[in-house]
Amino acid sequence: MKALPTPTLDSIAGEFMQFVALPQGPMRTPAYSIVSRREQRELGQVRFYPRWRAFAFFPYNLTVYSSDCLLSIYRLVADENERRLMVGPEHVDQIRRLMRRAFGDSPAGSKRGYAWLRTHFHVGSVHELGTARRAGQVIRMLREVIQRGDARRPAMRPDGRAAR
Amino acid sequence: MKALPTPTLDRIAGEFLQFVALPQVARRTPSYSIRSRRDDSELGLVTWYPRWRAFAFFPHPLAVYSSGCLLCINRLIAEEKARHRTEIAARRAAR
Repeated sequence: MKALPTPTLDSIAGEFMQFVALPQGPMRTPAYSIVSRREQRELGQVRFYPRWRAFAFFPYNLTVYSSDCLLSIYRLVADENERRLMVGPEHVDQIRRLMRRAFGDSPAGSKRGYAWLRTHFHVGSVHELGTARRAGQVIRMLREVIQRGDARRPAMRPDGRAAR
Repeated sequence: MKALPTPTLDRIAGEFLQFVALPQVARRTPSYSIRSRRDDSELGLVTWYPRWRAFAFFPHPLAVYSSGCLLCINRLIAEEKARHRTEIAARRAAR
């Protein structure tokens, strides 16, 4: 087991178990191995279960769990589900990057980007999107805007001059 | 499975699980089978674990548990633990 338990995970894990973040590899969501503190034996995993679109607990064969251990695992699963549903820093970074690509790096481009966000999602900033699902919608729409490639051009006034 | 889920157990079990009390043959403490409501397959057991002197959860391999299910199972263990303690206290008081 190469990865070390993080302090946050350690605080959830309790007296008898530890949660070790597994190397993410090609997976888009984190996965955790549940390891017994005493014997360093793997007891199960907490990872994303696509069929339920949520994190779930996958116990290993011949394992036994006390009430405290179940509560710790529940906390980890619930926390991960909650985090998945919230707009995270990775969403914010990606949306800002895509907005720069779609609308340009200039202050006017940034203004156009936020105007686009307000028009389509009724929010003034990326953080106000609230859920990861909405952030995903923004990302998809921004990619479409980039593909079309028309957003970089400033809107034209009726007199033929570029609008600011 | 002969035993049916009791109303109390049904209240704890939640939306996806049901707890079925197993026949208590030659055991001093109750055991419960955790079954899926949808296909009635057995997902695990909650039974007394003498080594820990506590009720524990024995999951079946290849079963997957959501956070809600874990909470329900935890509630069952907590209720059984409380009942067990009350019984012991009553037995001691009767002596």
